[in-house]
Amino acid sequence: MNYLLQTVAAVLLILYAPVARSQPSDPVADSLLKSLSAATEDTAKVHTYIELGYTLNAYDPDRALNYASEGMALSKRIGFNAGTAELAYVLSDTWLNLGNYEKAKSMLDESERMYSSPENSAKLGKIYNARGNWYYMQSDMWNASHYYSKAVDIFQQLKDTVRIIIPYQNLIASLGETKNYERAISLSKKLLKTLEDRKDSLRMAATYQHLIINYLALQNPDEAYAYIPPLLSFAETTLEYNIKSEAYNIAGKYYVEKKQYDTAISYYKKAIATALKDNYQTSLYNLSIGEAYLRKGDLSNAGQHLQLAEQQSQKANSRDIFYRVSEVWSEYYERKKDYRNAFTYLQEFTKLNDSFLVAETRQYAAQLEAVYENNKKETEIRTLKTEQLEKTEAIRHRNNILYVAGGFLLLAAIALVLQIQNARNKRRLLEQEKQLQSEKILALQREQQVSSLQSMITGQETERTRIARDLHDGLGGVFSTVKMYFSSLQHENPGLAQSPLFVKSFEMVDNASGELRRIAHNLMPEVLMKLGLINAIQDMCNSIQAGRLLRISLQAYSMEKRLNNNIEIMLYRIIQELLNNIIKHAEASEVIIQFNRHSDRLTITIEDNGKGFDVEQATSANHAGIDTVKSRVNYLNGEMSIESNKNVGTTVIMEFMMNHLE
Amino acid sequence: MVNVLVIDDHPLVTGGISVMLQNRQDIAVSGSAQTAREALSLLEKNSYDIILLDISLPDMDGLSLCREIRKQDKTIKIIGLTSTNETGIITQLLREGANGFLLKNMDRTELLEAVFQTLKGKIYLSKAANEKVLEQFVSIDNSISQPPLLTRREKEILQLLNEGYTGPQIAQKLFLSPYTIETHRKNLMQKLNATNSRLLLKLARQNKLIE
Repeated sequence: MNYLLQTVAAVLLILYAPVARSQPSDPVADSLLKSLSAATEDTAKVHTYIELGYTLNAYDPDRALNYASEGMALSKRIGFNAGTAELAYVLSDTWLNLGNYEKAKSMLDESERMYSSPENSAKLGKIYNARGNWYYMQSDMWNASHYYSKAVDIFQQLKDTVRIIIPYQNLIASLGETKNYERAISLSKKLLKTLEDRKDSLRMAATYQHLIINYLALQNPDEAYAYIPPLLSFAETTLEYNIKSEAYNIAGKYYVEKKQYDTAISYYKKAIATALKDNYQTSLYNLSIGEAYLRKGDLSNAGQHLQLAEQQSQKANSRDIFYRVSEVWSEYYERKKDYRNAFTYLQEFTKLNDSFLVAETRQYAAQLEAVYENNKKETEIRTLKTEQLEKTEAIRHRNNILYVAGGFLLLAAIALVLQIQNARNKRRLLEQEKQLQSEKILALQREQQVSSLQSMITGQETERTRIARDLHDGLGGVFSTVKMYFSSLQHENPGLAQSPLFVKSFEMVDNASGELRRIAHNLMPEVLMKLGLINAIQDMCNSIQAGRLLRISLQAYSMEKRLNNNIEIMLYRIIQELLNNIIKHAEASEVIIQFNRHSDRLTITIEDNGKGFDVEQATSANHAGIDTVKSRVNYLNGEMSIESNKNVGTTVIMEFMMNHLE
Repeated sequence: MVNVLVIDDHPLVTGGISVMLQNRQDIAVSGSAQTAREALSLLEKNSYDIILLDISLPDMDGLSLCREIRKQDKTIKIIGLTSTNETGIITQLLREGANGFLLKNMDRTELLEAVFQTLKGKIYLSKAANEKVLEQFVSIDNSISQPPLLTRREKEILQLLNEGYTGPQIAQKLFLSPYTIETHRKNLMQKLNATNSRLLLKLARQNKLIE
């Protein structure tokens, strides 16, 4: 039951100007355009561009892009920083609507940079919420919830009970996505109470939607029903088209669950009719219709709508929808007994649904823990900082006393000298204490980094080990056994070898079990667990060399004794990442991997003879791999140096103290 | 009659193997164990000709169990069963005294071939594993009997040491810290198995790493 992603994605809300939005329509845009042409080039004109951007984002992102960019140019020209920051924020939403995540992110970065002073924390809250949406749209639910929580925290600190609602609602959506249905429901109910008091019908409707979706996910349509009539009556009257179409879509879901397919389809069609975002929403709704027809057994209609959904999902550049479409297509072809196509789409589906995604989501718990730890540390740091401020105050005070003492000195000399010295001593002591305090802050900050990374990484690796084991033990065994049965069956009925269907099934099971082995191996190689780092790296080198014109020489000195299990995994990932980089970018023909273990330290050298790169200019964008490696090396308290020369090659040397590795 | 003992914590897999052998008059699965402990006690009471041994068991590492069984019985044939074909595991398994190795997704023909080959005293490796092990020998072949490969920096430093420069001088020349040079020098000594700098240069010359 994976209804959630496709239904909720469109409900995600952004925070924008305080004006209550009515039906986004051309009349609104038109009047804005009129005032635009009349305005002189000042901040008021920039504000009009901002308004226009917000309005058009809802239904015509292409035009929104135009105007917001124009506004941006103007705002920069007249040096209107707040306007530029706001427009960057508007543009990030536009790019998100257009499916261009990279540009959306760079706009958010720009906006955040300009808003990063404390008096702008409400703006920061908006940006965190938008960052949450950015991750949400790419199904990275952990990061999404992380940013939504950050936004909630900010508004909580500001005691802004109005703006807190949106990130709160988005958080509920991401909770549902991570299958925390019960929590999503209980939060929604709490939220609903506040909203009822405030008579905020718009947000109430969004909350009804979450309640329905989560109850449906718990396969409890009867509880869901309570919210259907109020949602529909809202949908009939509202001018909020975003919510309107989504409400019909969700009503449709409910009727599918109740097996009343015709009613469901009629709601879905209403959803299409009211959809604002062409490809993104319509592909979702066409998918819903296709699925409903499929359940009803009307294959020809199902096929037509799935076709539409597929085309539109590709136009919207939405991997998530395409993934869902693939799943339904595969079911469709299975019904048509066209197993080839069914298999192709199933592969498409599993490819996207690869255990990796699942692993990322499951990691959620470990990471939440990290966030919690972080918050605790942050509070500690904050109290330390206040203490430091108090100290500075005390020093200033002390200084004043010194001046006064200086005055007295003129009048009555020697008697006071001792006292001044005393004051100086005290001052020195205070300075020292202040110094200590800042060192403590630094240490805490570092510790904070390490501990969150630590729980993230160990969480991830434990999860990978567990999934790999589950795959081997569970599915692996099942596949092997099915193959064994097949081969016995073939032996008992030799005629079967002539049946193409039998042969094909045999092959498919074989492929599937091979694929499963590959995935499990990538998650956590068994040889790493059983025989250790060097054996695992030798294996990795062998299989890399097998398919390529690349010679990898592994030289390991004094590495007979095994290291701590987690450390071995970490070093394995580091080397894997570095080799990946070499394969992807270096165009090398020779690689040396070298381990030198001495009594007190371990150096690891990886050298290639490839084309090299500019280490200074290697930004995190094009060398994301290097960043991951760096943070892992830091985590092991190691040192890393990279030397790269054009057309000579790259050498990475890492050095670790052994007492950190055993 | 060939008696087979299957040691696998998955009853499903054991069942699959029995089904593959059910039409044979000459072979039968006459025992099955889900844990190492169970297997050892079965082996004490009964006699088997062949053991099919899963390398991941809940209570003991399959590799260690293989060693344990081999210690007590030199003639029994042991065929390792794994769901991965990682070379390291396969070679280790053979080192512990196994006679062969099968991937769990074998078919009937392969199973029978493995059983009969090992009974004849031969080593049997499943086809996929064969290739993997070969891959490894190719790379071992490459590394055996050759002097160690030096990294660019090591070559440079070795050359300068040979020209008579001291560690700190080399550091200055290469814009590196003396500590880094010291690390490289230590690594070089380790690679050439030298105990001091003079021996290092001598061995390097012998290995034609320097003139």
